Amino acid sequence: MLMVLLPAYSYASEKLQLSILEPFLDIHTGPGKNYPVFYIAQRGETIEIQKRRNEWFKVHLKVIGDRTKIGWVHRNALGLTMITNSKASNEKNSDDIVLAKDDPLLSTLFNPDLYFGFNYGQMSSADLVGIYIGKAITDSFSVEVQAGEFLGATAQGNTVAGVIAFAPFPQWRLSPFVQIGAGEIYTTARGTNSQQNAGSNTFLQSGFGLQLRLSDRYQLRLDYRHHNILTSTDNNGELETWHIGFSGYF
Amino acid sequence: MAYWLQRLLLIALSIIATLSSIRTAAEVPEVISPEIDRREIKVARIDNENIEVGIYGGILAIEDFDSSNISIVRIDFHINEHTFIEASYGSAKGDTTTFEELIPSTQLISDEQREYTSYDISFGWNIFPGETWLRNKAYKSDFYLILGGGSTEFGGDKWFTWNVWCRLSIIFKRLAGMAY
Repeated sequence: MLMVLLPAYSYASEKLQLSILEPFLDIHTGPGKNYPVFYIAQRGETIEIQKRRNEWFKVHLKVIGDRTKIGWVHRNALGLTMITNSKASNEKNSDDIVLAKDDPLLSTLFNPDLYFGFNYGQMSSADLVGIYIGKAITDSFSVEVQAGEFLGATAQGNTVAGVIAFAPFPQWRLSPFVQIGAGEIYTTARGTNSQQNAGSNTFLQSGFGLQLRLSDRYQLRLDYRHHNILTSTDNNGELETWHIGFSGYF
Repeated sequence: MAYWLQRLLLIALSIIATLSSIRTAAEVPEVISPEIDRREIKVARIDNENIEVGIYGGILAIEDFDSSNISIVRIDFHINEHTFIEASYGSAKGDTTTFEELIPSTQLISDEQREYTSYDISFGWNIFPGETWLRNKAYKSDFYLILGGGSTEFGGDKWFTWNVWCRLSIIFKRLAGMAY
């Protein structure tokens, strides 16, 4: 009776353990493919994840004689193993095999949704340099924060904007996208330019572009943006910018 | 009359039947009581070592402003073993110009304008990963090509600047998250 009233919780924070499903698993001496394979683990053996250096995972492996082998395994090889000590795998029928790359526990590891990139561009005659950080909400939609500096002959300043981007064909290698957003532009006059445009203004932004998937982690991006600057004068300003950018998912 | 009595009996019977069925359902003993002690496991977050921070010192030569010490801080985000994104920031102070040296009482630009600052955002590529042997020990070494753009401020003005780096790094010992 007491057992029913007091549910037995045993909290434990442990390292992720994975069981090898493939016939063999290469274990390298270091985090890179230039490091030699010094041990080959077999199906059924269990590895324990210690830490991660970009695409490589440091693992501990118990071998005969209760010795521990320490080495590094690539992410792709790790994806084909199975987690044995997650909550999900405990509750599931033990006959179900869920590969580590499909396990919800590791979804952000194998399908990262955060990206970071930088770009260079032109704003009429000014040079631009910028960074952007975003999060993919679905395959098609993402939200992004962009910040940049423009350096021209007559004006200089910074921009910061938040946008929503939509790519209708995310599965295409060369995929078009559109984006809309709003932001703020801070301008300082340079040289003999009048002070007319100096100061801070809000702008609305729309744009389109092409993104080229270089690998599962990288993207090259070319885009055009049109800015409507909301000023307190009679006429709203307009700005057109071109960018070429590079980003990586993590 | 008989019909009416029949209906009453039938209702009474069905009520008793329903009540008794509820009773029996409630009293069925559990054949197997689940006493599974489920373990609540929290898997620890995997530590990652994707960020690298560096501090540099060097000598910067600005044309006609002599050479001066420059200090640079940089932060790298490693995407994979071959590539990374790097942001760096450098600051220095330009020395006096030739004109100012020849005629000591003059000052062409203010001290504030003499401050040199630059930042850039670059893409780095490890083109020759490998190892370097010193005596009998091998050390991890990499040769990087780094290309990027940013801005440089000096003399009261600011420009867009490109930067190109070649970097050879030999790792003797990792300070943080070391040893593999």
